[in-house]
Amino acid sequence: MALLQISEPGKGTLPHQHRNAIGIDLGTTNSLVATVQSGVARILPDENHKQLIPSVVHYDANAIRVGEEAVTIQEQDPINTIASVKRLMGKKFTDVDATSYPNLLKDEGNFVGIHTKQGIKSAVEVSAEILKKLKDIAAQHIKDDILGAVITVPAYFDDAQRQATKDAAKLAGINVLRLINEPTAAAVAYGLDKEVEGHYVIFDLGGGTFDISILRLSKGLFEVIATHGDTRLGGDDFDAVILDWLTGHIDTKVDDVNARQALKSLAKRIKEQLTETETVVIDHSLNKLGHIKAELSRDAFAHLSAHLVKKTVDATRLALKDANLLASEIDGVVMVGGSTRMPLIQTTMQAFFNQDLLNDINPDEVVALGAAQQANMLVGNASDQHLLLDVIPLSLGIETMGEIVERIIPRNSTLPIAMGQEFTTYKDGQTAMMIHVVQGERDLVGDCRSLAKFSLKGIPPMVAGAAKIRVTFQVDTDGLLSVSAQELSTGVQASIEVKPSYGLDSEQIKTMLESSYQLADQDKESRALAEVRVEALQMHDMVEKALAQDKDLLAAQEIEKISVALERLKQSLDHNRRDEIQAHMDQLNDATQFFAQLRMDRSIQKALTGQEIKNMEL
Amino acid sequence: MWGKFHGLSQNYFEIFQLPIQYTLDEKKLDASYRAILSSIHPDRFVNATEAEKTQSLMKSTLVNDAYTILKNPIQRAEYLLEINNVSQHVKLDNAFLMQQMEWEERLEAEEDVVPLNQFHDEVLTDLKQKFNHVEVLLDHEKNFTGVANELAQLKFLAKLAQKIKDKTFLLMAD
Repeated sequence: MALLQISEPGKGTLPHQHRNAIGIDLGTTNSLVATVQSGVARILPDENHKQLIPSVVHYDANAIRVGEEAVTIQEQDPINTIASVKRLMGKKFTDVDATSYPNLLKDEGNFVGIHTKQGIKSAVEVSAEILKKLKDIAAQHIKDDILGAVITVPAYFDDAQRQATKDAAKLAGINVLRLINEPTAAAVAYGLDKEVEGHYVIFDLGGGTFDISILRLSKGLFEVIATHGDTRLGGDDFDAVILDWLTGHIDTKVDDVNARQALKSLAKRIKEQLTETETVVIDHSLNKLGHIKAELSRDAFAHLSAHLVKKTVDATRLALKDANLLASEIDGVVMVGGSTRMPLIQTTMQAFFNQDLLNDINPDEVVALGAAQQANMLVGNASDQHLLLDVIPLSLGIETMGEIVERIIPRNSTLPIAMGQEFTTYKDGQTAMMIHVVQGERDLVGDCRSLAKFSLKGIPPMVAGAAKIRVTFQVDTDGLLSVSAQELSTGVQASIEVKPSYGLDSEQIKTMLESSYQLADQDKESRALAEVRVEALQMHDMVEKALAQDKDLLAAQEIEKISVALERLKQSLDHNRRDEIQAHMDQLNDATQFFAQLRMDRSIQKALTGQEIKNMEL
Repeated sequence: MWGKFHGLSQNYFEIFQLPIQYTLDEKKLDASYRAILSSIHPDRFVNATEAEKTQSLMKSTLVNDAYTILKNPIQRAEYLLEINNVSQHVKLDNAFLMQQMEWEERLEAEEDVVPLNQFHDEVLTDLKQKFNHVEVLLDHEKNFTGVANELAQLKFLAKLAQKIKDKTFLLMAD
């Protein structure tokens, strides 16, 4: 667990100290971890020199296997082996096609339960196992502490799916520096943010998901202006097309699991061979199923999979439409994901955009490499400090009368963003109300995804319509929603109780975290104390530094207030009591809010002055 | 020129050091927006105290909101009405309502890309005229009530232009 501890105060803030951070591509089919060393991003291989870690987890009675190890056991024990768990992230049982999983799935209310030999597991827990494995791989290569990780998610992941990813990281003991969109990471890997201005399309066709994004790059600023995709389109679907075609060449019915598995692997091999050659000749003996003799050309394959390719083209059109751009206005097309190796995809996109594609970085690795670069920048190593601005992929709205959605934050708004909405009571003396938040583009509540129900309590009793409750919806840079509410006429802060429609609530996460430590209570306590001490020391250090820099912004009285809080925090460290140290950290935090505001304003002022000087030079 | 930004009550134009008027120096808005966000975006505060993280999030949110509103010509005009305490609620005159119906019928009837494009161009010309008029009303005549009326029509035209574009897009996709 030493991996993600915060480094000693002072140590990490030395100017030339390299701080370690990793980038993680948590994929549906495969996952990768990368880091920047000596200025170069590289994939960190596992002990068998493998870079692609299959996103597969196997639960035995007393062992958990992840990656290749889990794959080898998959055929013998499919029911305890979980693949493509990413598809279950942030989902309910009713969202999922249970028949497409060999596992026993169970309705657990807010999440899908997966039966394993170690009991019911959630997608978050399974993903945490994959993340732990990646973290261990990173630890084998990086000797010092790792400050944190940038984890990538598909651009259209909704709030529940992003939250689930963050929860999985928490369970794995990983400090998430930022969740970034996979296409954005790919663009970073190609260095598009560094010098180029223009509009770029990121075409990402992976094993199980398809994702198209349009980015606008200008002066070191990076905006995702449109995204589209399909969570159920990828290389596996192209395999299935060939599998169907193969089955058509067999007289006997394929009902045996092993035989079907063998055919599946054959289909995948044929697809991969078609990337190398124009035609594949199949002359293959399949034990019980007899002998297959057939021939598949690239053209025939194109014909068979035309409906799949059309889906990618349609989504590309929609994304362009959202971005208000023509294909001819695109300055570059980046190919991401193993399935973009298919010549069929390459030629289709080349023709669609009428230009050569950006495809010289390994399409399997490009996302993880970009994530590593972004992580490296966030912890302050990179000299080049470009800024990456993301948008919210799906509109946020609330349920109004008649199950109609009222949109509050439109899709593709730049993050962070907040919107306020006023509500009123409809009954005399009403002290509580329910707000239902949904995500999606459709007008009816039932057609959107329910994110959460908030009950507002503690509204002061008034006549109907007199209370004005302002509810603020804030979406942070990770695309995650938080809600606050206030009654305007009295200023009473209404309390909010969140019932997420999907995923685990904070209590469930806490329980899982605690059980995952598997430590004695005393050990837990001393560990928590050690953590809070490091945090307190670091905070003390940062505030002291800020004071030294910007003391002139404050009145003597304000300085005194902060100095006292600093001193008290320092003294509380001697008492070695966790709650006391935490309380003093909170106090110092309160004491420095206004100072932080002023410092922020000073940065803005400096930035604008710098801007003016630059303009004068022109 | 530099106002009290920290109160979160600063005028949106002042945030970017722009004059409070409809005519916009878009280059300056863009440049200031980038410069500000580059210095206060939450990505710059990964190793910071909670107080700084909170402030960074709040200010970046405000700056994004201000930028979005100023960048959009309709929202910018509405914002100017708002800070001048002018209501945006107006009744559209009958002539315009009749015109509206005619346009809707025309949109319904057109089934070809070429006439739709022509229709789109006509609406754009109308829009442009109205935007120019809004500029004159706001920046020169300070006739805020007149603006409210123009804005209501503008909003309809902008929606119409989008509908024509959507229909053209669907026809082209087939």
